[in-house]
Amino acid sequence: MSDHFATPLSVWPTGQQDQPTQLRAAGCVSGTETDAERIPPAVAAHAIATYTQRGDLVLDPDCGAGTTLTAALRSGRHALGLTSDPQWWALARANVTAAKSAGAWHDGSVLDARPRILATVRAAGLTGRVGLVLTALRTNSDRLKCPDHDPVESAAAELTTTLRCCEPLLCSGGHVVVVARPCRRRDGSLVDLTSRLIETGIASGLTPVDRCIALTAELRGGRLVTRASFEERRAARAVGAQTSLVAHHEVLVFRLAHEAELAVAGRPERIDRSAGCRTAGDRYALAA
Amino acid sequence: MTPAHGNDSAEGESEKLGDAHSSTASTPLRRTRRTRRRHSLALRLRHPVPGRPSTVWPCAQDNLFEGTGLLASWMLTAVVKIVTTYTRPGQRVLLLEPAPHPVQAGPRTTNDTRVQSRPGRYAGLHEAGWTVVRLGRGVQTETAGPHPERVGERLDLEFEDGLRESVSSQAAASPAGQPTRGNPEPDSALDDFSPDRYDLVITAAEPGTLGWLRPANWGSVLTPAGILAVITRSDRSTSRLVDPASSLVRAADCEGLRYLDRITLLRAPIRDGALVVATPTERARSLSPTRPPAPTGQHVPVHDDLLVFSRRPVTEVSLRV
Repeated sequence: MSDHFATPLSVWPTGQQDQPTQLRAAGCVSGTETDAERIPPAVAAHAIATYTQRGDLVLDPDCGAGTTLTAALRSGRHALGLTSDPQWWALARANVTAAKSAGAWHDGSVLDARPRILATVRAAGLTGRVGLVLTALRTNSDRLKCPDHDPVESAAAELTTTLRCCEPLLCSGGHVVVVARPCRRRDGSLVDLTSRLIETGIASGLTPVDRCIALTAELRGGRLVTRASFEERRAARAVGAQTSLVAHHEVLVFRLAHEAELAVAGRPERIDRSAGCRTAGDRYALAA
Repeated sequence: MTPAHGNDSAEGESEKLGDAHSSTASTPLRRTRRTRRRHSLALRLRHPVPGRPSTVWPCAQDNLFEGTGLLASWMLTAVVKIVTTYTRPGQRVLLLEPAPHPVQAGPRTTNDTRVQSRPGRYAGLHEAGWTVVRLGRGVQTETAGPHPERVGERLDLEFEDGLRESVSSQAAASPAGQPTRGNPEPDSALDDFSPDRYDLVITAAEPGTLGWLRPANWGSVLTPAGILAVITRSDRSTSRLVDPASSLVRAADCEGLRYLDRITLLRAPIRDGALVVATPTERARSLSPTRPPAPTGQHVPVHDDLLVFSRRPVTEVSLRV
């Protein structure tokens, strides 16, 4: 995949291959498909190619089976992932190893830790060095399973804490990208994920700057071919006759608050948040 | 089709074959599981069930020539898809268009008060009325505006050719028992909707317009199985993304409406397995004249959003109360 798209569109053509093919093409190890809330490799690759340059550091604070890390390493970026689930940690490690075996020479690490560690002194060396925080909203996490709470609300609260820890780590011109699959409540109504994610970002000190659509359906000829499994079709039928099959992921893009203001004013960002950090903000100003 | 010489019909051929092979007399097939399945398949092919829609709708596939109308071709396609997805022939559709809001024409100076109404991105929704009529639905159009001198406009198209009987029978069978014909008074406010109920209400508005477009009681406008479809978009013109879903979903929830779907309407055509973007000149022409250039680092927007709401079941509403 090329690093820079000639015309970045708000709808990402990331569903040209089905999930098993994407995982195989990304060199992911067997078992990665068990992570149902992973970021699809094509979505991760598109976000990384759009918002980072070679040599940047990509951070996934809740990396699951590590598809983000694999995509970052394969596209020449450094990758750091965190997970507290032993199963995902083993799979993410295996995926990093597989990517490095395939020729990726950039650094790739998976920490067996919760995202809160990023706010401690142990992560002080990362401050102002992360080019992209790319993570998914995970509603099925074991630590969120509480019968009294809405899983989406619990996941959003957890994500708020996570992003709050990640915000000081962003370098100048860095982005935070959150990927979420549309989901429904028990009564069949759609969860307003976009609004919830925007609130989450704002509560973390970030500014939402864009909302994109990452297709899971294939653009074939002049048509859009939905890739819905039998279970998804059955679930949609159970909800009601008028509900639609999910053919996309929601993508919310955030920036540091002051940089979003500067970008609108048309000024390149030259504010280094740490010594030695490169300035990456004005590459978009050139495009404008 | 012109029949081929010596090959008049398939039946004739079978008769000839029967004469030639009289020893192999045809015996009726036993009604096995496979034949039942074939029978049901044939029935299904004869009466196709509309497929379940997805959350992304291509709306710019057709090469429609631009006429003198205001309605964009992708909007017309979107309206047709909304109508065919959420209604059946004979049902009633309301097209609710906000009045063009005043915009500033050109750079403003201290003494310059040139303010005029310009058509926005969603202008001309009423023009889809005739297309909806041709789809066999009853149509009523309404213009809503924030000003006291709001221009009210109602075009009752329900009694067009071929629709009189179907719509009348629909009205007689409607649970609300309301007359089909709309209130002829042209100046009624949105809050004072006529007692007519619609199976589908379609509206399209910019995020900033949705604040005043919202009527006091959507539930009273929709039939029990009615659908409210709102075409809008996220506003990227400022430093912060403004998404209209938040306030809209909250208001709809208060009015007893259920957030059913958020559908992406593609404004870029799909050609050879890829989204085709218009040339910069065409894109600049399609953008609203008041819209400032997109901030750097953003994607080129090629989609709008369709927010779909349905009325909550009565039992659910009573439980919530």
